Amino acid sequence: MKILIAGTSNIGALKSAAPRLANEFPGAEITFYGLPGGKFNEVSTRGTAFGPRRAETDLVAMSKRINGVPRIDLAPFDRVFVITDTLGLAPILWLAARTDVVDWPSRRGVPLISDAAFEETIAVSIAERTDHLRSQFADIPLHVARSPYPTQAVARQGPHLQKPYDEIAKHPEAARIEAMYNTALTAALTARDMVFVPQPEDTIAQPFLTLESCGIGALDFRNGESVLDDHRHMNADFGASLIHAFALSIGLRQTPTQP
Amino acid sequence: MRPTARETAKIAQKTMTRSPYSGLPNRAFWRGGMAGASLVPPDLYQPKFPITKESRVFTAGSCFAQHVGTAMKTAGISVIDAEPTPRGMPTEVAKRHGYGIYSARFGNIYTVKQFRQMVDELTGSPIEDAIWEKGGRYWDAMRPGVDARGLSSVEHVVELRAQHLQAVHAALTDADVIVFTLGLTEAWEHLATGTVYPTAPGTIAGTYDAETYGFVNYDVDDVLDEFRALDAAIRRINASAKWVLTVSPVPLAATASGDHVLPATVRSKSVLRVVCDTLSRDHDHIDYFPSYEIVTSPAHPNGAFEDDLRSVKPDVVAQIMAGFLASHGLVEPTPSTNLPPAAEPDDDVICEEILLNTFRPGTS
Repeated sequence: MKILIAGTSNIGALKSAAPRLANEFPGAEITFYGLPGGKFNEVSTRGTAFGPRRAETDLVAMSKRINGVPRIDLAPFDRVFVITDTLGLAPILWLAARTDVVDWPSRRGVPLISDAAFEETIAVSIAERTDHLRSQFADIPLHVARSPYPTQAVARQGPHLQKPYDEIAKHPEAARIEAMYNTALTAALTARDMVFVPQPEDTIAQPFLTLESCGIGALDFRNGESVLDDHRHMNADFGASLIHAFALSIGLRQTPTQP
Repeated sequence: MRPTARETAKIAQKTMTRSPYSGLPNRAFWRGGMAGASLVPPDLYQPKFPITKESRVFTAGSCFAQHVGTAMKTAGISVIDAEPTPRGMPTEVAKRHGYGIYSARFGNIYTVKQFRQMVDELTGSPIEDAIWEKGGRYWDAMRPGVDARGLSSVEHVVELRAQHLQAVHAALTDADVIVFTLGLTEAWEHLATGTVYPTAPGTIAGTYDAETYGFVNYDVDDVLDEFRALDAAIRRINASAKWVLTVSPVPLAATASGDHVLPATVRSKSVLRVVCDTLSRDHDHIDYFPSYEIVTSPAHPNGAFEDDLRSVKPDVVAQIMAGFLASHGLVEPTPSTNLPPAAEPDDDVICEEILLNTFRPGTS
């Protein structure tokens, strides 16, 4: 089975995991195609070729440097797995961090909003990103994972601190919000002929935060050598876990490992 | 032989050397003041008091007032927003829920009495029968459009309203100028308590029951009394607040008066216009801006309304607001070249009144 794993810098985790999984999935032939987040967001599919337009010379050069080709032909692949951005999560987290939903029990002294306003924010934020993703890949069926949650390191004072993740980490309704987001995202992707591959449970420390260990030793997807350790990109262990989740979702046969 | 028109004019000049009209400026004459002048002549409106970019402006009123707030914000005026859109909420969601439209999330205030009720509530007079139920959900009947899906309990409505009133109080306390667009004289009241609603019961929520609710069509005295009470209540919160009143040029979407909707519209607007005239003549702190007159002026070469004969064309709205801003020295007084960015089409204006169209015969 020919598989394309395409996406942003977050494909680095899967790229680093791929060699160790070769024996586990002998029937899978995996190709990677990636561009940094902002650039990946700009490219789309013409015919069956995904990537920058010929006229975008800087982007073409970047793609060649990273992927060895300017564009990737999607036609030969049996499955395309895209690891993209947060798919609308950022505005949802900001809203959750800065307001309380009147229907929920928590009252943190922040403005109250209605449940409808919160639910509509989830729907609109996700729709904007999933519409864009769909438009990037024309009508090609996709499996999709959002970028991983950053690790627990972003929820404490220090060089990796990231709002609003540190605010949501203390949110009494974080689990409810995560469930709402995942439900809405699954529905939005399904409605656009895309299959959602959720972040594996064994990598999640708490709602919206990945285990800190997954962020240690993450390699730069562009060269597979530089260690990032920015706690936004994940390592090969995480990548292996996500590939397993994807393999399960497409029914890819796995060679039993020796006990 | 009868004298020609020219000879008559010469005779008049010789014999009528003094007339109360002689010496009046061009603006006093239709010919020159309107015919032959621009759509919004620069001397159409002479403000009683200045509005500057530093002025803290509170905006409220019927649907048309949304244009006023938008144009003022675009011009860099400090329009008060006491319930700002929370970070993360997309603009389209925010607008649907009443954020960023007026100085707080009170939705459209169509009648003076509705405004007075809200301000009285701030000063300790709760509104009776202010919560509507429909299908197990509950609405703030004073602003049913801002949470159009309703809330899950009466307590939640009360809690959100308390938060809202705090914001309204802060906004009114902070205001230098209140820009208020008077929209309607027709309304629905709770018979037992006199509570007036922005929408007819049964339009968004609630259920119409003739035993409980009654139709009212305020006259000049009613509106004047309500406004004076409103002004007095606001002056207890903010003694220095000034008013700029306008009358919405948008025709009624529907009338319950029994009259045809055209005379009903003219009656309603005429009452409001007389109220504004009376108030602005009687009070130094109350001014009137003639946006209504600009829209209804015969000077529009292609009409001022869209095909629905109700929505004011965006370019007309832009010219009105450019005229207002120019009068205050906030944009250059050449409307054709210095209009603020075109107002958003009326489709984007939140206007519960239009929901009445769904009750037209033949509309399912």
